[in-house]
This record gives sequence, structure tokens and C-alpha cells, in this order.
Amino acid sequence: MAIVDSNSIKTPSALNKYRGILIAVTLFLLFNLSVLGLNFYTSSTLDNDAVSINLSGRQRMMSQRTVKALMTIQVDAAQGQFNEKNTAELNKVTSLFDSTLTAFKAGGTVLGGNVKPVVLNQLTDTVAIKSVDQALQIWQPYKKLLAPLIVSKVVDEYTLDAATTYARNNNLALLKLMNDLTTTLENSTKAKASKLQLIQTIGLILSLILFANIVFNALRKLRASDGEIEKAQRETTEILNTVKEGLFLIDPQFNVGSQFSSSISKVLQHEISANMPFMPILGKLVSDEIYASAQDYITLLFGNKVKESLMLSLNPLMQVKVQANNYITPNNLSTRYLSFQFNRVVEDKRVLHLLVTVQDVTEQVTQAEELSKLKGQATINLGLLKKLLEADLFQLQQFLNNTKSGLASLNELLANADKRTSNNEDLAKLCFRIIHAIKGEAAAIGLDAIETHAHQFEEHLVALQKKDQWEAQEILSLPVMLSAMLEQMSQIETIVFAMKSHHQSISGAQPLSVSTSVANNLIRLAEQVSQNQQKNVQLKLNLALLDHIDSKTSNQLQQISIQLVRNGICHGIETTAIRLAKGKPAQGEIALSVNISPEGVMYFVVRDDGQGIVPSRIRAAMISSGRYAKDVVNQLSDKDIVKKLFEPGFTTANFADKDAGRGVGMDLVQSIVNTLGGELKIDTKPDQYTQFTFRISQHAAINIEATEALV
Amino acid sequence: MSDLSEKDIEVFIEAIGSYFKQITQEAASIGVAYLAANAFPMNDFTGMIKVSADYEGALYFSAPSAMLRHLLTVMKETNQSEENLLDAVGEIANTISGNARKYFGENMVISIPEKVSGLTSKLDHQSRRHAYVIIIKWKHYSASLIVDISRIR
Repeated sequence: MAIVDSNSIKTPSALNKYRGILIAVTLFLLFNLSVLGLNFYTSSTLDNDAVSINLSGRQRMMSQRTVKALMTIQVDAAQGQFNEKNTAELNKVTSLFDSTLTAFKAGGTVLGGNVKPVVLNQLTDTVAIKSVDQALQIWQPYKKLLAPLIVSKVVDEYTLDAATTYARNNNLALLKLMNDLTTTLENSTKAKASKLQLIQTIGLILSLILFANIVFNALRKLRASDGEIEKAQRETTEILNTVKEGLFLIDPQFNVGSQFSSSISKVLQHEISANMPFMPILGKLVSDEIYASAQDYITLLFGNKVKESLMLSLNPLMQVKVQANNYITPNNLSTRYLSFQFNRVVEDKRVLHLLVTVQDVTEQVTQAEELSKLKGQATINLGLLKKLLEADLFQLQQFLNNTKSGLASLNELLANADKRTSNNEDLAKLCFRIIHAIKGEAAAIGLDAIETHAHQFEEHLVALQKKDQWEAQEILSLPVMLSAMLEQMSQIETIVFAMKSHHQSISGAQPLSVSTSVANNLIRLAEQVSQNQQKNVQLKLNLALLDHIDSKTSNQLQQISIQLVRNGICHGIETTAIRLAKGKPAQGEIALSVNISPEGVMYFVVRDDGQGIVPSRIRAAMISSGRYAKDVVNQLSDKDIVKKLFEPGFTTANFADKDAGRGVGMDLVQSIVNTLGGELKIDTKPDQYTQFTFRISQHAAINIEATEALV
Repeated sequence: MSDLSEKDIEVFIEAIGSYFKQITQEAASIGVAYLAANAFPMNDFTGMIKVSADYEGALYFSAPSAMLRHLLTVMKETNQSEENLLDAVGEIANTISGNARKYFGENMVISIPEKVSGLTSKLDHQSRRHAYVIIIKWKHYSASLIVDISRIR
């Protein structure tokens, strides 16, 4: 499983994510603020307007109070009285009227209704200005006429009359002008108020639209992100339900997070739930020592001081042997291997969680152990493996069976060596015969490695044969060599077993028939030995009957064939030059055939067209090999000489190689014929042929019916 | 990597031989040597040493009580209790272990010998597929040396 990258998680900044909504809200606020500002401005204008309306209303009243005060002074003067209050009233009202009117015209501060100064803005409305201008035209002469009356306590009748006459003539006009001013100001204010109302209404509507837009966008965003979260959660759940590995988070308090893979309980063999403390679960799985180091390791990971990559090799849970009570099938204590990996989940340079990946690596570990065991046993020879792959499975299996039983017999010989009356030389010979048969078979199926091994074993046995007394090391050397061969055989057996199951599972192909298999084997052997001996030999085979006899017999006939083919090539068939000199075909021939007579007697014939068995030549060879005394050899009859061929250790070869020279082949043939209960006949003609005929009578295992056709 | 050689195994046998030679003036000799996969010729008393490091497995020297009694007699030890017989077999195992330590050096870590009576013919933890069985002869007695040691490095 890929390791989850533990770099810091990049969360998209909240500013970015909600940009749309934030812009909308800002616009909304700005808009509302500007509407509010406008409102404030208009209200303050309206305030000013209200002051203007009040004061223009007061002007109307002031014009009438002026007339009233003037009239009262006139009535008092007609009666010769003088009241100072009236003069003061006149002074007050004219002064207020004058200052207010002037302020209307040019702006300024006047006393308000509550005798506090208020600011009166200069009029802007043309109609109002006109009213004020006209009023000023009436008022200026009026003010001049009234001025002497205010300052003087003595009422001048003429002045008084002039003022009252002016007042009578202009009072109504002045009143009307002030009325007009009030009305104009009122109308202007009303218009402003309506405008404000309109702005407010539009502002409200726009603000509602903006608000609705914000809500709509926010909801849409929320839904989209909810959907994304839901999808992500669904995918996370799918992943967590599917992965084979145990995945979970642990927080700095070492508690398991809320999300974990469903396989975790199986992997840890412990029920897991959210917020469950992790360490007690680990405690049940591993030894106290590992538990303590794991705790330190996890603490260190949360510490954030050491680089995660540097800590990888320190992980005490990288591969840990656990023994847990199987919670699915209780009481089933099984040893398993788990691998825990910890990866930091970092945000803002702070370790938030550790992602824990747990895998059951029992199989891998077991396999690795087995492999290392295999490696420990011996190096597998690639050449051997190649030969095994090329070999015929049937032959291989037969070779394995024969070799195993051969080696078992050899071991039996060793174990009972002291119980036998025979001496060490005999023991060595018996071992030799077994090893020689193995060597022959190994060569036939092309297992050079085994052949070489057997050959070395043979050489060792030859050396031992010559000694009367064996040293401890020499005695020990036999089981040591045997053990090495057994180990090699055991490897081959493992490979052959795997090949067989593989073969069966992939092809289901029919295995070769016994006769074909034996034929292939002999042909391969003949090719190899001919090449070694630099001879040109062809095999002529008629072995179909082997398919109809029991495997033990066919196996033994094969073993005889191996020895005789080998002998035929080495000793029988001449080199091409000699053959040509003798007027024979360049290519030698060895014919093997299995026949059955109508009486049920089986004949196994091996015939070569070589030099034949010539006693005189054998005598000469025996003498020239230096192994036999001339006198002894000359005393032997021709029959004795031929018999010698079947004695163990008899050889005319000056040196032994892998193919011949040990003098064991014919001894082995004889011993197999004895086991089969057959007879052996040898026919030979010098420079013409040698024929070995094995007569195996009434062999129980022969399938008569099946062989009738062949007969 | 090479498996145990005859020379390696001989070290164990020599140890036993020279022990008998030293104690009884009569060396023990090798009878037969063969391989066994499961039926091991265990006798009444067995001294066992386990090995580790470059090797794994164990070595057993298993002797019949009669042989050990005779040995004790030769040693002029009159107390022939089971405990003493076990001690005798343990002593031989100890000698083997000493010689092996000298020969194999630090490549073979050898445990303190264990003494057991009445072991069955099966080994608890068999290291080799085929272990070596060497029959040791002393006088007319036969003891077994079982070498179930394999080289792992």
C-alpha cells in the first residue's frame, strides 16, 4: 500500500473559500451605510428646515405682535399715557423679526423659541428668497419708522402716526409674505421628506435583494460543500471498508480516531471503536519490551522534533511477532506477524494525528523464513534447476523414488555395518553398487550435478575399499556424504513436487508413456556417453511392451538398459576409424527390444554391433592394466574370463571416468537380474556383435491381454 | 556456507573418546555412523547441549545405565544413584561442550549441558532433516551420540 504522504495538510484559506459571500456582505454593508448616511444627511437638512419653518411661522406672529404693540402705544399716547412695557415689547419683537428676516436672507444665528441661539441657513429656494426680499423691502422703511418709538420714552405723535399708518398699509402684505415664506418652506420640506421616503424605500428594497442574494449564495455554497463532504465521506467509507490493511488515526492522547478501516478489527484481532485508547490494545499483542519502545516511538513522533524519515528505521513495530487470542475463533492462539507504519498528519507545523497502517505480514515473513532456510541448506544450482525443468517428469519421479530408496538402503547398510560379518571392503562395495545405479540414472536424465556428486561418492568409496581399517573420520565421511546427497535430493524433490503441481494445474497434458519416457532417457544417455567417448552410436529401440508391465519391472529393465548402453558404448562399439577399418558402418548401433513369447515369457534383448567379447583380448587388457598377475590371468578359462565381467570391481580400464572403469556396471546388472528372477544369456561374435538376452518367465505383472497384440 | 564436515563431527567423538581414555584408560571408539530422520536410539540417560550463533540445533550423548554404572565403578564411585548416573552423563556432555568450544570458537555458542533421563526416540526440536547418529562403543556397551546441528550462516 502506498504510504500516505504526511506533509502538512493544505487547507484552502477561509477567505478564499467564502470570497463570494464576503464580497456580497461587504457590498450589503456599504450600501446600507451609504443609505444610512444619506438618511442622516437628509434628516439633518430636515431638522434645519423645521427650524426655518418654525422661525418663518414666528415671523408671522412677530409681524402681528409688532402691529399690536404699536397700536397699544398709540392708544396709550391718545390717553396721554406711556407704558414702558409696550416699548420693550415693540423692541423685542422688531428685533427678533429683523434678525430672523436678515438671517433668512443671508444666513446667521438667531434666538430660537426657547431663547437659545439657532443657526438659520441662507435660503436657497427662489420663491422663498423672493418672499424674503419683498418682505425686506416692506420691512426696511417700517423698521426705520419704528426705531424712534423704541428708543424714545417720549412719544412723538407725528412719528407714531407715520408708523401706525405704514403698519396699517403694509401689515397684511407683510403677513402674507411671511405666510408665503412659511408655506414655501413647508412645501420644500415636504418634497424633501418624500424624496427621503423614496430613497429609503429603494434602499430597503435593494438591501433586501442584496440580502436575499447573500442568503441564496451562502445556501448554495453550503449545499455544494455539504455535497462534497458527503461524497468525500462516502468515498472515505468505501476505501475504509475495502482496504485490507488496518488504517486508523491516533490523536496525541493515543486514542483511536473516529474513522478506521473495517479490516482493522480482523488485523488486530481486537474490536475497535472510536476514541478507544490504542496502547492497551497494543499491550495485548506485543511483549512488554516492545510495548515500551513503541510508546516512546509514538511519543517521539508526536513530538515533532525529529524528522519522520529519520525515525523510520527506529520503528519497533515495523515487523512484530504477535500472539493474540483469535477473537473470531476464541482459544485459537496463533503466531502472526504484523507491520505497523506511522505517518504524521501535520497542520500548521503541528502533528495533529498519526496515521497508523497495520498489515498482517505473516505470510511474507513465513515465506522469507522458508526461503532463508532453503538458502541455508545449500545453494540452489541454477544449472540443476534448468536440467530439472527440461527433464521428463515421469523419469524424474522414478529417479527420485529409486534414489531415495537407494540412499535409504545405503543408510541401512551404514546403520547395521557392525552387525554384518562382512568387512569394510564389502560395505564399500555394496554402497558403491547403490551409488553407481544412482549415478547411471542421474546421467540418463541429464542431472549432471547428481552424477558428479555420485561420482565423487564413488571415488571416496574406492579409496575406502583399499583400507582394512577405517579411521573415525572415514567412518563419519559416509553419512556426511550421504547427508549431502539427501539434501540435494530433498531440494530436487521440492522442485519436482512444485513442477508436478504446476504442470497439472496449467496443462492437464497426458504424461509421456513409460516406453517413450524410457526411450527418451536412453537416447539422451547414449548421446552424452557417445560424445564423452568420442564415438558415433545410434540406438534402435523397441520398448512398447514396457507400457504394459508393472512399473517396478520396467524400472529395473531401464536400470539394466542404462548400464548396458553405457557399457556397450564404452566397451563394445569401436571408434569410427576402427569400424571403417573393419569394413563396418561408421555409426555403431545398439538395439534394445522387449518381446513376449506366446507362452508368456518375456525377453529383453540388448545387442550392439561392436567388437564383441573376445576372451583373448580381455586377457591382454587385464594384464596390461597391471591389476592382474599374468600367470593368474593365463590360467583362467574363456568361460571364467566372461564370468569375470560380472564380478564387482572388475575392469580393464586403466583409469575410471564418469562413464565407465569402476567395474560395477555388470555387477549391478547381475544383481538386478537376480532380483527379477530371470536368466541372462550372452551371445557374442568377435568384431560382429554382443547380445545380452534376459529371459523373464511368467512374470505376474505382465498384462497378457494387452500384450497379445504385440506378440 | 558449508554443512558439518566429518572433521567437525569427529571433534565431538574425540571428546568422548579421550574422556573415557583419561578416566578408564580405555578409549571409547566409534561403532557405526548413519543418519536418522525420526527414530533416534536414545538410552536411559542423556546429556544434551544446545548450540546457537552460526549453528542451530543440539547434540545428545545418550548412554545406557549399565555403561554409566560401569564407568562409575571404574571411577571408584560407589554411589550409583540415578542422580549420580545423570551427573556422569552430564560430565561427558560437559567435556564435549568444552572441546567443541575450543574447536568452533565464537562461531558456535554452546549452552550449559542439560541432563535428562528416559528421553523418547523423537527429538523435541529437530534441526536437521537427517541427524547424525554415531554409536560409541566402550567395552561391550553402546552409547549414542546424536548430532542434530546444522550450520545456518
